[in-house]
Amino acid sequence: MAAADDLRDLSDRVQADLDSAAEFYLNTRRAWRLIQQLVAEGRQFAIVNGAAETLADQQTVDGLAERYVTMDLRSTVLERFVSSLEDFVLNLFRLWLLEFPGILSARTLTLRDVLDLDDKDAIIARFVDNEVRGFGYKRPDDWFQEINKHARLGCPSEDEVQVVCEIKATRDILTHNRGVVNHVYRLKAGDRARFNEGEIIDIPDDYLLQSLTSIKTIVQTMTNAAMAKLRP
Amino acid sequence: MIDTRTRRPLRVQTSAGAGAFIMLRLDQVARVSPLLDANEVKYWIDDEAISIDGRPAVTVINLSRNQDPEFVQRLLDSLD
Repeated sequence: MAAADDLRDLSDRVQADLDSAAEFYLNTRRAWRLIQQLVAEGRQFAIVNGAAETLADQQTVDGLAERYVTMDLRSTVLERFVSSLEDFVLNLFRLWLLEFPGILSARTLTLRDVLDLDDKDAIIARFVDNEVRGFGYKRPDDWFQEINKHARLGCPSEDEVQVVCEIKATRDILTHNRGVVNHVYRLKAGDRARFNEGEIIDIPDDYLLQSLTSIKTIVQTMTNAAMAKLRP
Repeated sequence: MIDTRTRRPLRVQTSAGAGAFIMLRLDQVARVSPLLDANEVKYWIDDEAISIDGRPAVTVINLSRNQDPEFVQRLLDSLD
């Protein structure tokens, strides 16, 4: 029963984080677009410090706006989406292992690993921590495969997994290669790859918001499937 | 093509580190969009537009970072 409550809390928190990230994106974009439009109309402003020295004016801010909106903002928000999904999947996996620790019955620890632990629950928690730590470094398709090996949730679908793999590959190429597509992106994204090697990755609005929808759907369907198993 | 906000030619604007973009009145999108489509320009349009002081709403056409902005400017210049 406690596991089901924990899962509900986890799911609600992750869905709220995703909604918050989307809201941040839309409102921040609106603010920057408004500034761009005001500058285009010839409005002037100055940002000054306590000594009334001008730190930035409309030209300075306007010169930054497009990069902030099209690259920095969108890549930051996409990263938040991916982080929220990781948060959900890793904690679902943790929760499942804590509820069904027999899954780890073939794992071993040394005496040194458990000497400082108080009881059986703490020992189980140590096993689970070790398992989840390695899990976090795996690819998205391996996350879902591993969870389904134990929990048999029957979701997400193969198509949804491929979508997430491409989203994660986009996030990785933005973080590790300045958005320039390489063979690693192509490999990770598979058939869903949106760009060829050497091209610079774009994050159009519809892609960003579709990514949000895809991740929210996966969180919801996995939550429902897991709840059905925890509260039959 | 004339930017009906400024009465000057509609410009493709560029910004360091970002893709190029076109800021224009929402009611001009219907003329520009088919031109871009016909020439296989990769772009997307903000799904919102902003109206200031009750004036006609303005939106942004975002060009892919892989798109040559000068090519798009020539397309705009070819429109009456």
